[in-house]
Amino acid sequence: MDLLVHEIKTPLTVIALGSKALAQAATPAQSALWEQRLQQAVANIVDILDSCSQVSRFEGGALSAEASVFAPESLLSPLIQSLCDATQAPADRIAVRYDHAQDASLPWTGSTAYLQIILNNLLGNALKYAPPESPIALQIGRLHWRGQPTQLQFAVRSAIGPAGVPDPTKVFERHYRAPSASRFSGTGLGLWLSQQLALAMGSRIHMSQEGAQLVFWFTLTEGVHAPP
Amino acid sequence: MSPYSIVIVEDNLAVQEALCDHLREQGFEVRGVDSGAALDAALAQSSAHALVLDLNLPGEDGHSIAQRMRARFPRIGILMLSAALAGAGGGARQPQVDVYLRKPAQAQALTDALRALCEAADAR
Repeated sequence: MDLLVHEIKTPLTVIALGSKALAQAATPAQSALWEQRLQQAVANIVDILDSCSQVSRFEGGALSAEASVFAPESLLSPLIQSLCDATQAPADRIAVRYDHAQDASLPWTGSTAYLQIILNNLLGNALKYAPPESPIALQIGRLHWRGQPTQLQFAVRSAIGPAGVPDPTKVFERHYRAPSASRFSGTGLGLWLSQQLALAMGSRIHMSQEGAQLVFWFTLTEGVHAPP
Repeated sequence: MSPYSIVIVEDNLAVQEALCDHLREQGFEVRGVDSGAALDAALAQSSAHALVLDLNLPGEDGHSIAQRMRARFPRIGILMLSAALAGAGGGARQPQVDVYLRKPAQAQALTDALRALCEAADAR
């Protein structure tokens, strides 16, 4: 709770300063800068509250695990657009790549709500922590092994930013944040929740470092769904 | 008359930038850093009348920094920003700190407290 109090009071500090500064701004440029800071501070508070709400709903059994049929492309396009709009990132900052072009539209059955939360967290983290304007890639591939169920693999790649590399032994722990991640707003709940949802779907999220890039990846197995 | 010089130690970039700009707009000369080590480097370049410290810093926290700074610079003003109440997870108030303000600090209260600290540091 102390961590969440600190994380909410931090953007509130910007709001307390900015509300006065905006009223006294001497130039349009100063006004625009303070307005942007205020909007970002509000967005940060909303993100914190949304994280807490998702965790609360998950732990209370209120997050729907219902499986439905979807095509990856139809799930990802609105999710990425929404993320880029919320963070004011250019629409092409996140590149979605398929191992085979047809994988984009091939139907998959899975817990769409859980998958959306996981991808929103992984891509949202990449947008937040990777160096500004550095490219982010979401690679998707179908894996076929003779006699085995088909698998769908997701991998998010982004450059390592000023927050540094998370401790791989702690990265999915509740409230864990990388050493310099306190430079940015965050609760340390997103990756923990994402891992819980992945486990519920019979999967597991992995983190690895590839040179100057971080990769978060997980694999879904056809026919394996989260319990209702 | 030269402006009063402030160094802000705050690891959250958004807050650091907002504090720096607000205080500059109030006429202070301001530098922002993100750690005790960075503060040492900043003060090695030039002195300051007062410091604004975030209590909850990763690594060396605000109280530890205040203790060191008070020993090195007895006249410097020290203002601590804390999200917690003293004694309620925020730890006991330290004699090295001149002023505690709870986050989110009101802009005018922050400005007035710093101006008073700088005037006192200048007069000593």
